[in-house]
Amino acid sequence: MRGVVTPIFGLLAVTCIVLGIMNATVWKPSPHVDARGRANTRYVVTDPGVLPLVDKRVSVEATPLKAGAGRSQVCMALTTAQDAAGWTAGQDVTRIKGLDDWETLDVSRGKVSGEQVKDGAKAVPFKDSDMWRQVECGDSSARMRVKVDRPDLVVLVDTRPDQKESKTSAAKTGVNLQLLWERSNLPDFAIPFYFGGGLLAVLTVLSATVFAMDPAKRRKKQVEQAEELEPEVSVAQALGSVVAPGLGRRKRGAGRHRRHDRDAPVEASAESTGSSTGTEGFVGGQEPKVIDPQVRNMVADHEVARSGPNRDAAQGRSDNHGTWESDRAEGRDASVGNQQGAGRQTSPVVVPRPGALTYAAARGMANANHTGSDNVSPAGSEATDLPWNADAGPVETAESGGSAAGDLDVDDDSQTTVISKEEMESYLARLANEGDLAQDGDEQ
Amino acid sequence: MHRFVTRPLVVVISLGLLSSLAACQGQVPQVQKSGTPSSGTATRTPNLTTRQEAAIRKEIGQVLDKANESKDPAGLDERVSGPQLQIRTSELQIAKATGSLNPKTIIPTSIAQTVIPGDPGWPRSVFAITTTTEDQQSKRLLVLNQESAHENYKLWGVARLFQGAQLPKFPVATIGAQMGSPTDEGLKATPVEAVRQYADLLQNSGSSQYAKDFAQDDFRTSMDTLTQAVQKGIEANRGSQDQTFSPQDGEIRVMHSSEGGDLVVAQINSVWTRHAGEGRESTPASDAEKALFGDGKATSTMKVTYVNVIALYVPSSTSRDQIRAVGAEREPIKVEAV
Repeated sequence: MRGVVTPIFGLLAVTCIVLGIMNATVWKPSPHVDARGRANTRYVVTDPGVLPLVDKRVSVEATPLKAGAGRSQVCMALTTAQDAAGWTAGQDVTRIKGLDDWETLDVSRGKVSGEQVKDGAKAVPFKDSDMWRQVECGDSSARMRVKVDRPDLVVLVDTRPDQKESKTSAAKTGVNLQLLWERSNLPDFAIPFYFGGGLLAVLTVLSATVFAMDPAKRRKKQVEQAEELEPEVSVAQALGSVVAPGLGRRKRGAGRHRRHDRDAPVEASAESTGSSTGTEGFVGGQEPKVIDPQVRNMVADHEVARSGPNRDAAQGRSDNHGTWESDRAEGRDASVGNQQGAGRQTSPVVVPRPGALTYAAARGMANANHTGSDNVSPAGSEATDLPWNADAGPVETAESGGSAAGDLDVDDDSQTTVISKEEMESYLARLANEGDLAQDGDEQ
Repeated sequence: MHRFVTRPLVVVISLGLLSSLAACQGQVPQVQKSGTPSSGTATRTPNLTTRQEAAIRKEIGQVLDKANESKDPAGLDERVSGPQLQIRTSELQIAKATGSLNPKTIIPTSIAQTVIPGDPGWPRSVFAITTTTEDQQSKRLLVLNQESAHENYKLWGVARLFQGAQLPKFPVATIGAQMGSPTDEGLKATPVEAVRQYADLLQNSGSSQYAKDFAQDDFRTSMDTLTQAVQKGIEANRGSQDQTFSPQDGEIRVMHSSEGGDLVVAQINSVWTRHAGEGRESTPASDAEKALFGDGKATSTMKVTYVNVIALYVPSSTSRDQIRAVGAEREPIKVEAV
């Protein structure tokens, strides 16, 4: 990733920045707009909205192509659209409709509706009319600078102002028209490029650092640091579990060598409640065993207590004590407490979690624990070794007893029964006896 | 290997971007077609800016001043038309004969209110109300009129407003008022009809059938007073007099007010015929008539033609007000001994 993507992003970022600079300097849009057109009617009028097309301030210029025989004057006036239409009623005019492109005016010839105004004696010349807001006349060309406040202002050009009444609408000669704007709002093409360049630069940096973290390297690190604790649940797994169970677990590459010690806990199903593959790799207490005290078999404990007098009572008590405290103090597996049960060995209680100990593992651990565990004495326990040593007995008792309890070890429901099978049998036997008596009694 | 691919790729991308954006001016703007401005009746823009209107009045004032100085009505029709042209011409003639211009001809240059309509089409008018004159005469109502697109605005009529007359309200000059037409409906009477009724009222005074439709006003009061005074003199001579008032066709200008009524300014000509009985001569009744008559030969009958300009406010038909005159002007234009 780092070697391929980063240079691409880097180059693109540089390209964007360079293009942005070019657009801000060399390719900057020109603020001058000079659009030209030509007309050959006497009157030329702009459409409403054309004057402020590019900017509010516009300079209009009209130049007859060649001077006629006499003085040819050109006049232009700024007025409203309806006044211009009234002045030119019934005549052909050239309309400036807009911009074809940045340098060409869109002109077309048309006829103004209405009846042509009859010029009586009282008609005023073009430049004297009251209707114009601004008027300019010139000999060879006329130029007027206007500031357009309202969109319906137009410029009316009269190329034959000295002629009172026009029989024809034709101009003496063609007339060149020019509209000049100085743009005050220029389009800015540089900013998007700068923005894109900035984004690409950020991506470059990210792809060089964050996205390019080498997992192989990381794995190697982990092997070196054997002590490094992997968090039980990574952030990704936690966030993923928010959405759906099992989401967020980092998938392993197919070709990677699966290490049993690493992969086993990962593959453990999150929902399994106690059946999990074992892991013997956790030596020395890497994986703390979780004991759920609620799953203690009270009856089993009771049995122990009852059979306790056979053994050292203190032991039994202390067993209980010690076991209980050991459970709490060290968080040891409940397999320890489970050993107390006479003839019972409940399966080790494990909280469903990845990396949880399997039953066999727990048993194995318990075995391992009780075989050589002088130093695993519970804090504050009176009999240090005894819980484990005492376990030897019950364990073997359970195993040797071959009672149903032992068989029940494999069954899951053994954890949940309150009355043991033995007790049940004895109870039923008693019942039977009583029943017989009762029957006898009934029969009598 | 990868570099061989990425480098040309980047170059191609750059060139592609370059070609699309090089020397780019942006999009060519298009004209917004934002609806014709003259179609909306609510949002009509005035035909003149206040600056333009002030410039027009200034030019009119210059023409009037020039004529006043020279007492020559020759250059008047450049900026004066309609009844005002006749009145001005007559006043100048009188001024020439008497040596000084009647003070009632003063038109102040400062304006209290301007009413500029936004209607397309011609003829179009502008109403302007001046302030009071320096010598405390009443305000004047000016009517400027542009007859056609190729003509300029001219002073068409001037009516001196009555003291205490209530004028209707108009939109401000930046909004644009609306002209009315002589045949507007929805009023107490159409403007033409209202003028005709007023003429009848002037002619017949109290016995006119329209007397109850009109409020009493200063013009009629002064006319009544004048007529009665002349009547007394005529009766002493066993003569007779009569006045006929006739509205002039087409000489009427109407402006909608924002209260729903119309302000109407119209020309009513009147002919005053006085017969002196018992072989006496009928002589001009006023200084103005005298000046106009000049050194003509008086006979037993004198016919004087007057131009009256009256300003009426015709309320809407749902209003409880009567039609009332708010201003008038009266000027003899011709005195002849028949």
